[in-house]
Amino acid sequence: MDASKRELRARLKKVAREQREKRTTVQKVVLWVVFGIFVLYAVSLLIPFLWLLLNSFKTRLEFSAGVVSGNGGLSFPKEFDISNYYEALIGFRVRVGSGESARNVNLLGMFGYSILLTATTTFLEVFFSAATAYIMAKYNFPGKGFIFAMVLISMVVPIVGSLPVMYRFMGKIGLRNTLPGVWFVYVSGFGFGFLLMNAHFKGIPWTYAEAAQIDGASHFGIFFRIMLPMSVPQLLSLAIITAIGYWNDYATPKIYLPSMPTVAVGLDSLTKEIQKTSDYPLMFSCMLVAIVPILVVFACFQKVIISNVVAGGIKG
Amino acid sequence: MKLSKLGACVLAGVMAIPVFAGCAGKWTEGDFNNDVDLNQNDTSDRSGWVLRERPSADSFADKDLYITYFNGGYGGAWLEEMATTFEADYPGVRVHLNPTNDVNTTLEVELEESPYDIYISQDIAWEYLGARGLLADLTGLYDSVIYTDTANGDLGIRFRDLLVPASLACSSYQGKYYKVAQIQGAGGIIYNKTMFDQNGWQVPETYEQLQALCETIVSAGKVPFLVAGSEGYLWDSLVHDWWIQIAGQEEFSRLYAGNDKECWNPAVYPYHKKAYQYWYDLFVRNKDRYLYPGFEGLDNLMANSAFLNGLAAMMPATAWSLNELGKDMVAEVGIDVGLIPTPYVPEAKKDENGNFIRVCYDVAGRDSIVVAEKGNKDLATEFLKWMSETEHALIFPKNVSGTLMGFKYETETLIAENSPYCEFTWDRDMFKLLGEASFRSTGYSTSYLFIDKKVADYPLGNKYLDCFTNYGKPTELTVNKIFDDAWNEVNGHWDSWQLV
Amino acid sequence: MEKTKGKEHKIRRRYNLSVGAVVFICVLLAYPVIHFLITWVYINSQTIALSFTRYNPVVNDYQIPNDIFYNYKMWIDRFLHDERYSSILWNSALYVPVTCGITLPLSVVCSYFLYKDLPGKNFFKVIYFLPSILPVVVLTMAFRLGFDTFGYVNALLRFMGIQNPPIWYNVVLLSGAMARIPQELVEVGRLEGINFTQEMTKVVIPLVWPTIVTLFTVGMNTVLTIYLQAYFLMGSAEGNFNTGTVAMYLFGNYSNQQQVPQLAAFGLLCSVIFVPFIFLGRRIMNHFFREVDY
Repeated sequence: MDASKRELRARLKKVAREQREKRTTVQKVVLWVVFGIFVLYAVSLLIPFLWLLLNSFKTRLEFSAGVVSGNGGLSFPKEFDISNYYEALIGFRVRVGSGESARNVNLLGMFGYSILLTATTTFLEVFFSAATAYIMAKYNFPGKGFIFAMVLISMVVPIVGSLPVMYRFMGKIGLRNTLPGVWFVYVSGFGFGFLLMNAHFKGIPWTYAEAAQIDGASHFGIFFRIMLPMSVPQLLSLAIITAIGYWNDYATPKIYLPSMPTVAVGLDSLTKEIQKTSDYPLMFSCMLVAIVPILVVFACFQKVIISNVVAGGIKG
Repeated sequence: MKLSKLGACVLAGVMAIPVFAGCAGKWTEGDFNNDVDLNQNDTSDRSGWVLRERPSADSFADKDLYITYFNGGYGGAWLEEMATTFEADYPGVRVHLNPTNDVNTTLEVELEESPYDIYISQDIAWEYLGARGLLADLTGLYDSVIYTDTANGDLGIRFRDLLVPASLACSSYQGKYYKVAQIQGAGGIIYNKTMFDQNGWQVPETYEQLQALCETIVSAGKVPFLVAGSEGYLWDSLVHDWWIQIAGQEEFSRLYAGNDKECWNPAVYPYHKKAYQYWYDLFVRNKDRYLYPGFEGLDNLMANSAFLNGLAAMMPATAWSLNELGKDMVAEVGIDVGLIPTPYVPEAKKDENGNFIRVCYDVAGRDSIVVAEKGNKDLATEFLKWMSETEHALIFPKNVSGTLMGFKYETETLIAENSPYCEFTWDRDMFKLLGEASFRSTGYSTSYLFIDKKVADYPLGNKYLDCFTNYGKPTELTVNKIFDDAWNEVNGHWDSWQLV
Repeated sequence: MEKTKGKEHKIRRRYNLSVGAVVFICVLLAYPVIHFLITWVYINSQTIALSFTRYNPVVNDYQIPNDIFYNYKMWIDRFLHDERYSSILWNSALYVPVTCGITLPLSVVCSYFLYKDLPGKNFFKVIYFLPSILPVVVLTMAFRLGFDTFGYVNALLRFMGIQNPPIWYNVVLLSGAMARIPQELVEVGRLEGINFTQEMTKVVIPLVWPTIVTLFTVGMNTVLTIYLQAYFLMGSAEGNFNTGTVAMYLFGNYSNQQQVPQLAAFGLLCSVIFVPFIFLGRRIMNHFFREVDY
């Protein structure tokens, strides 16, 4: 499989090179039209953020007069006042928790919760996905077929409507509004990561394990010392995909962990609270501040993220 | 496909579990009784009132009172002042306040553990929580005597007597009182008073005058009305007011009893449809002239900005309209705003002197104050009693201008010269309106059909935006169609909605 | 005792499992299996059971009404005769053509060109990745205000000479504009520089077909799970019947305890309605090229 694929790719590369050399005028025109469309699409994605940025420096009055003046608020502020940004990052807080544990949280605090939640759940999800995928790929045991079928069915057949029941159940077992509760809701080990890792482990020859067994390694030893280290690129890409999902998730932390607002949840609370005072420029600053860390991480690890998502996203 | 066969087996297995589990019991028949005593003693003259003797702080075993409240709507200044004053009146008692922007998500769990004694918020599912035994039964509070009227044969003025009737009527479930209405309000039309004064426009009293005013404004080259398309419910302030004006108090309330399906039959119960028709004739038919172009696509934020910048003279309004505009924003822009009570339609009911009867519908009056069953009930109840005393009830409008708690107030005090309770003309107009209104309704119903959301005052949604967007098109939505559809829906399902 | 031990031994031999392997499997599979049993089997069976009950205010609890299919009959009736509820189904179904019919093919083409010699392709890659990593609340806020009557979209249209720009009140359709390009598809471009000719259909598509089918299935599933865009665009779930989706209706009402049995029946019914289509879609797609196994 791998060899034939490599061959195929080599062939395709050759074809491509040949075609690039004899590109016709029509093809060139098509390429430029496509380029134009791509630019338009990119602009349509960037304008909203430009709009947020311009308006985040304005005062309330300036913003309110600006948006209804006909240019839709796409105008430069009279002066670039950064006080909104200070207020957004440090000053503005939402109140969370109850009783003795009640406290104020600002955006910095929300970043802390987001990092804590994303890091722990990503670690657990990746670990359990790898474990289940490995066992299902390399071991044969009674009930395996059944488990496999159930997992597939549960993934393909989404049963909706269980949210209220789950909510009540979490309350009953006392895990609602706790960190372990959110772990429990998120981490299954039989999700998307399972499919991904399962395909990967199937591709690793068992001979590695046999060699280790001869050296006296236990089943745990093989898994932790040989199989996992061999899978670091796949685990990393799975971790990145999962982490992005957790970082941006709104519903689960909103419902099951209201006392620890993540950025996605807290931002929603912040915007609702700011709406009461009509201070929209402040709201826009909050939003921009909230996305800066994501952009920074993305800018630094752009290559790693994109290529890993690509590598992990497909098994071919 | 082998997979789908296996899957089917799994699904069948899962389906079979509940059959064996048998987790829910058989249906229990019984009366769902909501009857509650709504009688009130006369409170019109306060001159002879003597305050009860308050218990001392020592009579409370637990001297700490924990209150959590939604700080989005009316801020926290009023409660902070109350807490300080209460602590001064009961030396030794400590009040702990917790402002939050989300009371409801964790409410049920919190009530079981009870970190707080009093919860103040909108949208509390108090009927359900009360019936589950998580909220304190406040019937004792409602019956407790706060004042003695020495001018009226030492008549006891109870907590229940101090509340406006609409607030009393929306606080009980299955015969018990579980909440205290936090605020009362009214709707109508918010107008740019500065613009009115500059142009010499008069505030309209009747429907015809409102229409004439719109014509005047149009001929002056300005736009009469503005509203965010997404906030269609704001029109309720006008339509429901007209409905009450035409139907009168008893006929209006009949629908909310939820036991007569004919109330949704426009042939038998025409009031709502007539009111809707008045709205349709004035606004939908004239939408190109009376409403700001493109209002259907306006967000609330943008609508408020447009109003502040004088792009239109009026907006339909609820009690919180000024709060939403932002009081300091209005002050910064430098305009004054006022409230036009819903103008009278020709068919509005009149009193024996031939004057129109002032009524109002209030979508804001559903905010709740509840006491946790497992909390410090004694002190919490005492706090609520204390809150109902005349001078303490005034702390609220002093901090939140233009808004009143669910208690009765003396209008003269509120709108007196240099009143600390009025900042804008709006506040004065609102207090006058609340004082004048002989009937105020929050549209609350204790009927099971309403609580279970089987019926509503609009069985098929309010349709306001649909009326505008489809007007003049083949899909045009007429008032006849809206109400005929609604009646078909109710008539066809009434029996299946009943409990048994 | 001896007998069971013998049986165990037999099974272990048949599957060639050592004691160590059994311990290993049990330890690592314990949590996932228990989790699955609870969150899928138990929760869903409870949901099914609850869907046959009704809230009885007399006892303040859920009980089985005389007509055990009360909720199901109610919802079927509503879906058939009440446009407020049938529109929920239609709105959700709308996401199928949007995600599977427009976004997905476009993304395939997009990814293809991104790896051709397009000037500035790295820049595009980064920009197009943005919607995948930013919080939905920020995206929707920026889009919602943009499409307002006073928003920048119409301002730009006017700037370009369009005198009467449209009024954008049906915002659900707009959420298609925010559709994210599935990053997995960028893989298509790995086959650097193929021309958009027969090579595409004969080589490229078959190669990435499993990914397309997976994404298609996920896209179909969004029918039942998408709500965030609509939720943030419309502000709240309540009262917005005409723009609601299946998941949004559930999300907007989950904490209302009286409604739980109705909601359970609603969700299950929606699954029953949409799942056959999801399977059908998969079958048709598999039919084109080859059976895809995971």
